Amino acid sequence: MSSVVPQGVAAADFSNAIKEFAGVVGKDRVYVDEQPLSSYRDAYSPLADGEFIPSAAVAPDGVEQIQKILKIANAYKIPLWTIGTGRNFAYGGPAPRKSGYVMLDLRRMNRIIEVNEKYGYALVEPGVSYMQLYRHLRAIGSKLWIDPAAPAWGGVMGNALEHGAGYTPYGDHFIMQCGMEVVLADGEVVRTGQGALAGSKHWQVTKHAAGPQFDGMFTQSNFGVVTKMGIWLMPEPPGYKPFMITYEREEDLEAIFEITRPLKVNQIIPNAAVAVDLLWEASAKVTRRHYFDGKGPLPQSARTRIASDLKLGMWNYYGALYGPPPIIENNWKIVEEALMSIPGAKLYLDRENDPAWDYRVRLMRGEPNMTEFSIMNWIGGGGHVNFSPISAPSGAEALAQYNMIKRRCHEYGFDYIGEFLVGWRDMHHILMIMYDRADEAMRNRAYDLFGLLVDEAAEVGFGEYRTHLAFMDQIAKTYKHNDGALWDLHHRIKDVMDPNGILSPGKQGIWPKAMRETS
Amino acid sequence: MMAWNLKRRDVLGAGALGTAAVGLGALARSEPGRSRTVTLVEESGVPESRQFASALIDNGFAGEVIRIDPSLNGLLYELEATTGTIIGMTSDPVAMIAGQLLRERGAHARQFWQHHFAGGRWRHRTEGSARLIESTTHAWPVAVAHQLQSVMDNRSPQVTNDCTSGPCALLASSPGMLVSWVYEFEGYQS
Repeated sequence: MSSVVPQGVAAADFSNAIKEFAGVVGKDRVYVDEQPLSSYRDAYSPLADGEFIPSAAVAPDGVEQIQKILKIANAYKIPLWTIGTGRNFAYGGPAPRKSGYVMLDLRRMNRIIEVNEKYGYALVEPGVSYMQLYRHLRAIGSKLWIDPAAPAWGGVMGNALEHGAGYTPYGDHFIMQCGMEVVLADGEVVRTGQGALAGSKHWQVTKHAAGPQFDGMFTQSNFGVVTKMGIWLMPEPPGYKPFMITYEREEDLEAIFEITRPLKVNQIIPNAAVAVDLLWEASAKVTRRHYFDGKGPLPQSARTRIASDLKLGMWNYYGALYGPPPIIENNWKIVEEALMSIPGAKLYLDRENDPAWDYRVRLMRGEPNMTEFSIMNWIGGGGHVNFSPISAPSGAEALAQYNMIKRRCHEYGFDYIGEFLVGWRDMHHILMIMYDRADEAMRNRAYDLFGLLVDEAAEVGFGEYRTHLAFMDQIAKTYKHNDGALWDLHHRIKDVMDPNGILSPGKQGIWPKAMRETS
Repeated sequence: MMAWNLKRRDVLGAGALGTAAVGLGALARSEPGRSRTVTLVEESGVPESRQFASALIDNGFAGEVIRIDPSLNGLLYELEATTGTIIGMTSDPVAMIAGQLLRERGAHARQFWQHHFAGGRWRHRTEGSARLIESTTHAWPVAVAHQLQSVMDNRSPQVTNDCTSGPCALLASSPGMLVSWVYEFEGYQS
């Protein structure tokens, strides 16, 4: 049995709670031994092994069992850490925010409750993965697409709740969610939107109902356990035209996004247009060792050689057009003329033997795959953490962020490996800091670099949209307007809705009152 | 080379290059009354992984082979119901994904050997007889396969060894960092 117990909980109370959990879900669904608990560690953690280890896990298979578990957790003040599929790697994976928490593992709740072909949506439970939903749709002959995050094993619900993004026109996953069922900390079950109307058939077709809209407060939060969620699915379009354009110079980034903004805002390019840097793109095909075996960032000569060998640019731009072929061809003229106006741009409508092209093209047409994990071969050694600041889709902002972050990466001895995605009115910048977990000094430098970037980005107005467990508190503190009024609001809500602080304490820097002083 | 009886599974989309049964099923091992079902994971785009797999197949050690293409989707398709002993020499990300999926289903990690290319040489961290890999006349993935098979058959505590190759080049499609790993499900432990 695990020797870890939740902070502030007496061993006898913990033992009693475990027994009572077993009474709810059965002994075989309560895990306390090292082997099963090892599957809840963050395999890519920037911290030393032994951090963020749970004391136990309990795996319910439905709402009633969750309600009973919450009742027990409230009685003994046991902190629970909820996971859906537990695939949030680069942001902490399935690991809890603090050692000793009990995992509330919802992977058994993996039912696809409804697929509605007519209106284009699915209603799913927390344990449903992208691959599972994709296979289900193909099995039933559906003509609906999913919008997967890059790794196919990710959770449909979990990714939307984490504000994740995909690569089809339905790529903003939280915007595409419609209707939630939530179990509150006291066990009450609430349905949002039209789901609150008994017998409604419109829960998944409109987000709106009379009164306030609460869905957002259950994302990146710890105010409830989401047990069902609707997700809109894109009907298969009659045409699909993916493209890639390579750009020769790093400073082309500014022009790329000045050109992209009107194309995106006017929906000429309907999906998340992405500019991927040279090394992210190359790492799906080769490793750093093939070009440079020394320490520190890759020399410019090696970068130039990689670009030449692999026919890549310093930036590699992916997008796609969708719809009836005449509309695609018409819009393509506008897109091609605009994006090819940058000197040195090269257009690709197909690339042979290129796994990076292959996985991007699949993602943009809603086919889940796991290829993106291969880019971790660049360094090897299983470590990466994603720094994810957001900004406007502005060329100047993109270039400023890039220069600031690249400079710091190089100072700390890391390659810049990143991409920029444009959403509706926003731009996500994802920097992947890669390190060998076995190299303690390198891992520590990655941790220090991340912390520095958080503060420096905030000073010039760039906030993170999502982060690793280890940096949630630091990032929460960067949202300083009016003396941190937003997090004060989060805490006021937390104290009312979860007075015993049992639900995911510390998630996104939101701590229950009893733990705020010690966190 | 043993004849293949390829049973490509009817999976949706790409992912698994195929699952091959080598026609032996569950193999009788050295312990009386015990048999071990051995499934081999081959990352087909990685030359060392192919050499490792071939060596174990040639020795009749593997009952089934899961071949993974660059989408890596086959890991999700094929490891859902695998039991017994699962072995692979794969890139580090594939080892991580396989390990995560197998541990969640209750498998125990038995071996985790690392091989990385640095300074123009391969460096190995393995178990068993000292210097076996260094002095082998086989390609090193073949020697690792033999070593792993020997360690699994002996089931006795092994010492950890570090070993370095002579100067060599890194193959173009090699990830340069590989892991030889073994997972076992309950009931197959020694």
